[in-house]
Amino acid sequence: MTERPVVRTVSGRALDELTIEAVLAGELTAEDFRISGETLRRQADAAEATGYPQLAHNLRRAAELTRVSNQEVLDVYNALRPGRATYDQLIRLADHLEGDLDAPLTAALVREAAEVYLERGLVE
Amino acid sequence: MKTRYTSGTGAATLMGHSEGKSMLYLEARCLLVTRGAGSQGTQNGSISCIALPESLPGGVRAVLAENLIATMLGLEVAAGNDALASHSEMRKSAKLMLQFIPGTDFITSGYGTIPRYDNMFGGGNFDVSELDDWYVLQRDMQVDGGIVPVGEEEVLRARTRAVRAIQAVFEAFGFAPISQAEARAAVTAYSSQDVPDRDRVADIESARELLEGTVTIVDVIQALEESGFHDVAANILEMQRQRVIGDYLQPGAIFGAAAPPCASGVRSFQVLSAITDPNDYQGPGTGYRVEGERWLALQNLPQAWDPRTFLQELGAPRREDWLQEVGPAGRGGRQEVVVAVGPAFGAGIDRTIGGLDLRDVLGALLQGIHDEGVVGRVVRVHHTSDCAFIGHAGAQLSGAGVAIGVQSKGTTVIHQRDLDPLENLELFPQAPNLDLDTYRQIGRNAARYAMNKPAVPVPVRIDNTARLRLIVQTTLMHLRETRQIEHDRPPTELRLCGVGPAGREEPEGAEG
Repeated sequence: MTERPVVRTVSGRALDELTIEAVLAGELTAEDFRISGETLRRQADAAEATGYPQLAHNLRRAAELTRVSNQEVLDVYNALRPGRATYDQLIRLADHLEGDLDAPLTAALVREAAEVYLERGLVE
Repeated sequence: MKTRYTSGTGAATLMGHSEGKSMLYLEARCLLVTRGAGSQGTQNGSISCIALPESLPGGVRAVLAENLIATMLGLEVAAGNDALASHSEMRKSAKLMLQFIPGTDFITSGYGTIPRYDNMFGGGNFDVSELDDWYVLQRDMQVDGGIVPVGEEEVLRARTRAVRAIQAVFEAFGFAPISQAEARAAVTAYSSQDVPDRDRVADIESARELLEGTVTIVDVIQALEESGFHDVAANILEMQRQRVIGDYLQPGAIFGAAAPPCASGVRSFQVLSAITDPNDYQGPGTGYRVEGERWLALQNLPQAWDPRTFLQELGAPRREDWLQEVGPAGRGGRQEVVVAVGPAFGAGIDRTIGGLDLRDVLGALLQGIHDEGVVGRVVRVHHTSDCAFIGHAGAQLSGAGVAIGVQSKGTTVIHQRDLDPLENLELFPQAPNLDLDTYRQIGRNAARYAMNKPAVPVPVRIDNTARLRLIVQTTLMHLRETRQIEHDRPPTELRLCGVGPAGREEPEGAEG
């Protein structure tokens, strides 16, 4: 394997800073143990190169979602359940993801879902 | 984003969506959706639904096909072999065996270390009391079931450490305390019945505090470290670091499969996955093979005994004190029975496989011969370790043409000069079932054959567990005897000291 680039957490810390000493000194919070979008994209590249393109897409959407709150992620998840949202609500959600949250890949998934749900009678 | 879909043969049907399709078709479709959605893997193998395919002809074959499809799609498979598949011991084991062959990532999704009646999740296909069998299955089939045999001491050490660590974290967070008595009981508990009842209302309150409060994993690591559980704290910290690294997100990822914890108790977190260790199965003999260090670890069963110890205890190289070689054995000229013993008799092997002292065995045979008023003479056969040939060689030397052949592990034959080597008058093939009374009866019968008197075959006890139980010992004893063969050496006369009927028969000078 080639040398790894420095892995940083979503809070910007380098992996080397996540030590037991730092825990004891009260310097770390749970936020310091969250994976960054950059690392997820690198994992996506590795998955794609090994023949897992669908997993790569998933990881790239996950990278976008590192900037989105847990509550909003849950809201998207629930809206995508069958019969929970109208076609228009799904399209508005996609616009919000793309325009306000800088998550174009996730927005594209929601738009695709809206079209498929409409066709298959899965919208509210 | 680690996701694992779950589906299985029978699931779509049970939910009322069979659409007139076969269960395998429906499951194949689910697996393609799993792959298409970008999930790393699937939990399948018809888990909760297993009884539905099992109710149909060829149903379990479809379950095997389902696992195969998942593997072909490159999905990690947590096969549901831990879930109860049948109440028949044979059917549930047979279903398990199917997963030994395709080499799914995980033969089971896990192991319950509780007895079945404590398992609130539906009851396992096997439970903690069957882990010893699992070790042996891994060794029998050279498969990796994911568990490494450990000795009792190691289990007790790990359980003590775990209980004390939990106790310390409860105390640090002010949860309902775990008493010393509870902690002690939990270390050796087999089931929930072996630990004292707890105040469950207080426990639920603690759980609520944990869920709703501000405690995070960082606080847990700190509590463990400050309570002196450095290794546990380090392992949990490393798990959090791994979340940041993300290698475990790849399909089939496991942490440091082959490496046991190092001396400090800190585990290896090297990730093996479809990326770092791709599935290279191309047909028989390829793909993941259990070998090297891992294979050695799986073979190291705590219940296995060491054949070298057994060999050391078999006997002294030569027992001159009671069995002396006095020269070549000739043919006797009188009404006698020759007792022909094998090359290692009292010369490397001192006991039969049934644990009888060979002096007592020889004494009983000679006593039986003596009981009938016949003379017994003892010779050693050097050129073979085969019971029939030992007896046959003895019969050629016997004045009456009758001999008892005795292998050093105790297997015995009554032979006669005119018979072919593999024929016999009476054969006693299962030495573990012979006792001294039987040997004495064998001596009597041999004497009666020597006198041309009628004899009723000696009855023997039947124990058909002996073969499976003692085959390794049989092999080791027979190997020792066979290694002492001297092909060109004719039989020798043996003189006994303090063995046999009172006054012992001195060997008579050979004639001819």
